Amino acid sequence: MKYVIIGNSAAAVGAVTGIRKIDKNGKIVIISKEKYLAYSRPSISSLLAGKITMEKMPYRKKEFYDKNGVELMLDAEVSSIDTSAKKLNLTGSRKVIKYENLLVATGGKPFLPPIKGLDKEDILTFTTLDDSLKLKKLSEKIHDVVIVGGGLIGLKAAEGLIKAGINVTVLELAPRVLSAAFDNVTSKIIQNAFKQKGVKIITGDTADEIIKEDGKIVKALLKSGKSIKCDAVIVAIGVMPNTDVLDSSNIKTNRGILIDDYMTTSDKSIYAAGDVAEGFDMVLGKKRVLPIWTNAYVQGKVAGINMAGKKLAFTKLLPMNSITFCDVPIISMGFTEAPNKEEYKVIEKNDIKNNIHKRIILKDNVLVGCCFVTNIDRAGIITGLMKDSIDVSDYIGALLDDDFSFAHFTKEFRAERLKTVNKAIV
Amino acid sequence: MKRVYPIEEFCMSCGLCEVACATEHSESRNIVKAHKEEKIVPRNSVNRNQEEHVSFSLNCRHCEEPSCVEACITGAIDVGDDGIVLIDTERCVACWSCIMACPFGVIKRDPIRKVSTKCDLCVSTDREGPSCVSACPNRALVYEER
Repeated sequence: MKYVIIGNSAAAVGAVTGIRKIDKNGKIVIISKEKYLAYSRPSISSLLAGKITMEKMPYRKKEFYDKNGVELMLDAEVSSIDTSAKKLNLTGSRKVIKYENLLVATGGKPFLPPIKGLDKEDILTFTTLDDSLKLKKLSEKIHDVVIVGGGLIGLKAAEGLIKAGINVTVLELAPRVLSAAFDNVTSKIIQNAFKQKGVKIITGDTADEIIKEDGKIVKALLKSGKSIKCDAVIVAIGVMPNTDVLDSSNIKTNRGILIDDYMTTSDKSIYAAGDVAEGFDMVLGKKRVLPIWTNAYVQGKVAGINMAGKKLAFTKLLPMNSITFCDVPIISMGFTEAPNKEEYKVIEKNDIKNNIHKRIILKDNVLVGCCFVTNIDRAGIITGLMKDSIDVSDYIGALLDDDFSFAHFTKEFRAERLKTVNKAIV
Repeated sequence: MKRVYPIEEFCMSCGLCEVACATEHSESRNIVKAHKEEKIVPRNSVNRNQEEHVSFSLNCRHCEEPSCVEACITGAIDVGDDGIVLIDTERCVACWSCIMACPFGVIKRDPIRKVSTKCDLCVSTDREGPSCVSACPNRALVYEER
């Protein structure tokens, strides 16, 4: 069997691990546009902030590829897929790569709506290691940065830049930052934490036009008419599935590549995983793109297992985020706001002055969402209960206590859970 | 593989397992210094439900398919050939993704060193068997194959 993986991040690494659980010898080829070994993409902000060095960036070291017999083709780009002949064409090369099973794990790419006055070469993004290195170098020369987008990426870029002594203004079109991944209380706390660090956050507004003088960016004009002095603009509105390689193929896509529970696409020998794919969100009850590291790894692993011939379904896809801003750790899973008041119940415990917030959302006594701020310990127990759709009626009052643990379960359930959770999947 | 299992009927909630763990993983190996000076976070926790008088010590289950490994954004957590799940704290960036992922709630934050910490079955300390098991005064912890 010959496996080809396009992409070399969490999903690709997961896939190699999955394939090798079943097939110890089949040839694996990884083709990546980037020139690096798999690296910790979320850590590019720590790199920008100077918290870590390049040596700490690798997600998997060279030994991982060697040990698993992976042939790495770095700095190589797939231009198109010929699904009937099962081969890949590479950009700028006549080399043709044949596959028996293919995994598309090309991830996401920044969403870049046109902004008047902002030329393509002036656009800064913050999703790759090269972006981070470029920004780090640039941060020695610039003083005032406008970040368009107050999501996870935009705020992480902001945090890195203030460490470098740069004045940062974040523009968020929604009424609050982090609205896609966290609830309104968490947003308020984080917004305040940034304010205390000197970052200006403007909500309900965005950049309308970028003004240049003598070829250099000097200010941003906002929709509201406000003017913000700046010498660089980072666009961090969001990422979208990077489905470019499929453009000339007949693989079914919506926003992302459509996959089933086995990570198979509409072509039975092609799989997709990670930020490029649209999997089934178990709490939302429909397919969506979930650009989340953990999900990418798991989807990749499951794809790998199936590619190697063992049927294994993955149905526990959940949105989840764990991140720290301005020393305030926050975690969320599933719904962060109740979709409606009739079916969903929200329970909270807050001490907002001390940045403490806990929220859980239930439907029919089953956890479907949560947010934790500062006191995040043992959040994983909630994740586990959510993934397994456990009825929590017996200990619902204890769920938000800081000492909530397995000791609050019934004896039978505790014994069962300690015995069965996380056994080998193959 | 051998793991540490609690017997909750025997647990008196004394917390000596935590003290032993912190001491074992300290530089000084001194029971007082480990706690007061080095501020070592014990890698196990006595899970308590005061109302119901339930208590038992819980540490990393060393899962066969660990959620923490899947969640770790830096590749700092791995399962060794011996089945023991270890955190390479040099590579931990304190994102707490593992805490979000662990269904047993047994990974802890070390606020001083700014890394995640969890049971390593005392392999890092060259000890014969886990220190918590030896320290338990009522044999409420066993280290065995199941």
